[in-house]
Amino acid sequence: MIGYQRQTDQDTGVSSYGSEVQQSGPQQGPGNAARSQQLQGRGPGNGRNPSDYADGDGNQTTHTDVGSGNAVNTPDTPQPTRDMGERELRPLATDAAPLELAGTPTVGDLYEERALTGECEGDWVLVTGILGSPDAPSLLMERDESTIFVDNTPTIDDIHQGYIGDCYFLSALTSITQSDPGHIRDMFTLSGNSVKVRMYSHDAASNSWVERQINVDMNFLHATDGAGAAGEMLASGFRMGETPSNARWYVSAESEDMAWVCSDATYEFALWVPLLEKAYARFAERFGQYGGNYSGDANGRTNDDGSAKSGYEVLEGGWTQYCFGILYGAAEIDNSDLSIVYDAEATDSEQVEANLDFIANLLMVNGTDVPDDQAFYMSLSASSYDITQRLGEQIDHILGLDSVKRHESFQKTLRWVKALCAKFMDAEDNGTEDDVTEAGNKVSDACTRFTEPDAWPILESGRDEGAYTNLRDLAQVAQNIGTDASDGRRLTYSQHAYPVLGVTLRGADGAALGLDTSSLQTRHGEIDADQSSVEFRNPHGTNEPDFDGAGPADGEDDGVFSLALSQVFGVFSLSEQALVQT
Amino acid sequence: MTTGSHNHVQTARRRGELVTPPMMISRMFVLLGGLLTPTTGCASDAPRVEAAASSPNTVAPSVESVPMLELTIRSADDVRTVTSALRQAALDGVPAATVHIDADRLDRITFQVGGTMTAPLMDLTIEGTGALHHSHVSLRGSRVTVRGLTFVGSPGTGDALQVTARDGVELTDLSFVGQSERTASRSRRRGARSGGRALSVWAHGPETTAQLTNLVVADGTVSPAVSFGGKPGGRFGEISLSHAVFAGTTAPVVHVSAAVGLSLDGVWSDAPEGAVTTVSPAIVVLGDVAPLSASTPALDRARGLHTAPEQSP
Repeated sequence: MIGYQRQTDQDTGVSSYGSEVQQSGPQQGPGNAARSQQLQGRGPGNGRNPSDYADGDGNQTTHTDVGSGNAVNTPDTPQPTRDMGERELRPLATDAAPLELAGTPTVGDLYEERALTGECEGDWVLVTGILGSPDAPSLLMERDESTIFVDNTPTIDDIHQGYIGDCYFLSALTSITQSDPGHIRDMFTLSGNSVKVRMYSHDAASNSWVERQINVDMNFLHATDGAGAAGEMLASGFRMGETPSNARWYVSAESEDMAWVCSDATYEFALWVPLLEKAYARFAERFGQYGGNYSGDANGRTNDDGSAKSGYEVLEGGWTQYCFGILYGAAEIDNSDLSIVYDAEATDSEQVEANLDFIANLLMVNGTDVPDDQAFYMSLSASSYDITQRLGEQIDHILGLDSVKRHESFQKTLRWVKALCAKFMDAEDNGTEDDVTEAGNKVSDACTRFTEPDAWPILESGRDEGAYTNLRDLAQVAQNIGTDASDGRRLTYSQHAYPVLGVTLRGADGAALGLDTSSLQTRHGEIDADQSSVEFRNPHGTNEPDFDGAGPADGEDDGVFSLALSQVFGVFSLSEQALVQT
Repeated sequence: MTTGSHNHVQTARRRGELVTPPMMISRMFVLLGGLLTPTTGCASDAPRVEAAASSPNTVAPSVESVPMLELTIRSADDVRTVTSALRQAALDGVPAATVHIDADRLDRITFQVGGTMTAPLMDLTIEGTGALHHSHVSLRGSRVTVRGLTFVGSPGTGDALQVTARDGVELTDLSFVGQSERTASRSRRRGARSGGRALSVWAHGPETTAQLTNLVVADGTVSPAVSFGGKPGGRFGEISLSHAVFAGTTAPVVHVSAAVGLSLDGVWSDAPEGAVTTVSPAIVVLGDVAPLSASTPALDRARGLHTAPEQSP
């Protein structure tokens, strides 16, 4: 990697790094003086990309462009073939004179056909069949270069985490996209094949946020194969529009051959997510993971040997709550974190009482008690340590129940898994990274004993205040501690940030309670934690809870799912939240 | 050196003159069923200081009464009840509360105060002499004072002690031992962190005061062990760190990202090179970290607690 070239602004004496990074207007924070400067110079990275690096498997990465084949929803385009025998066809739209149409044409718009006359006068051509149809043409899909959004609107469906460990950042983007999509749109300025992305760094001297315009191009991070050619896309995935924004329709027909119904279609690609991810990596190379703020909580920008990290490495693993400053600047009002309390021996109502602040924050995600010009964002996660600790405590609790007494083999398995959990926690406290990995794999393997279908029927029972179903839930999370299992059974992943989309608090009769943060304090006893639900979206854009490996309950694995509030208490241990001015 | 402008309310409290008013005492007994007891000031003839609930630290106090709450945690089972009482007290406008942790040892507790951004802020004092093992204490208030506790091992989530204050922070006679960062992720498709620092202190006012005295931080593998940051718009004035020992921890041991300055007085570390870092040269550091070559009684005590076996649940 080339070294940084340090540039100093002559007017202000404020130093910074970067080439295409421009500082525009100042963000007025408390006690700040207004400043304005334009930074020049070269920074690290390749042109308008963050630095390439070797990924976790030691493979070098590179940046290259993307096409429709990289989209998460590339349409399947089988073309029907109609054997016509020998007939005559006259194209009405040709490559030289195509039909420009965003929608679907009729056959009559594209060609005429008739029985064989043997004359083929004018434009008539003898063909043996026709490949494709107006509904399923031979499709050439190209990117609509005029936009980085589908329908000019960012949506949470656009967010699909790739192979970079930035779920916390994508969780923040999900929340903003849901409540303040205009803010996302306003961050981007598209200019040809490059994009300026507005972010904010923090200036410690003035305690203020400084606007930065990060320039990036349309090439995205890919793995390379052994020969250095681009392989799998590592950057965040993207969605393309379901229908083309425009298309050139025509029929290609040569004598005594098949005719083709063709569509050279232009689709909108929602590239804003991988663009923002890449801009964040460039930003992180220059200003740090959280823009110079909260640096004690951030990944460093240099390796142990003093060399600079790629921005992608800087943003690997982090906190959601600290991302809102770099995305909102001085419009961020507050951020915080809160532990979610779980007690294996507590009743659901006791869990509710122990988590009233958390539940109040959940209500604020709905907009309850939040002024119209503000938005409240929340993301939940659980450390693997917490999951194993809770699993061990749940096992302890169950071993003390009368209902487990006659299940000797089950008790034996419980004690075995508890011992493995203790070893994992000890490895996290005192061991090496390899120790942690080995112990985590053992916990994962062992927990499949609880999660296999029909492993023990008692796990499906609601006996003893849900003690057994709680055990099953924790085992569902723990079974993926040591893996990156994207297929198969799961509930939620530990060490993974899940944005909260909303909450519905219900009473025992299933009716919504309509609480606000104030009435919650006196009416929390009415909350039924099994009936109440919290809605999430996995930043993967897929991998919803799936107990039996047969797919999510709603049949659509788009990442959006709900958990009962009683499950949320168990499988999440940390809530991060932020309040912003919209 | 800036050490915070202690007004009359604080001075009176230190003398033990602040009391829980009779109305609040009765409410608390109803709430807590007698589990928790006010520990001082029940007598109606005790000296009282009254301050406006809306701005307890800016109105000159008069000698009348102060609605201050005192609670005691004797076991892990008390944590939920005390937390509820503090939440309700804040909503009722009680401006100050003291929690006594009256236990030699508590394991794996999570004690959080001020967990919502909309809740009114209180002056909070947490004090005790015992050890909190693998526990997480998170306090958010106007002025936050913590005294006498030892934090042993990392909690599952968050830092052992996390303090967010609008006006001032005072941390005295605290020990931290064995905090280590939890693994961030072993999967490329995840990436949520979970904390693990010994102590994080956050300013939520334009010039929050911070005074830390008699601090021991030992045997941690997370860097920095102690962090001073600013919530949006927040910054410390001059942070005072006096009489502190950092042993067996990864440098830097102290990191400052939001403060006017840091004043060091009697600070030792066995990793003095780069022991203190700041995000900017604009944060002025006065004083030095001296090399630590020998053990200290406080360090020995903390390490002894760290090696004690865990109590049965």
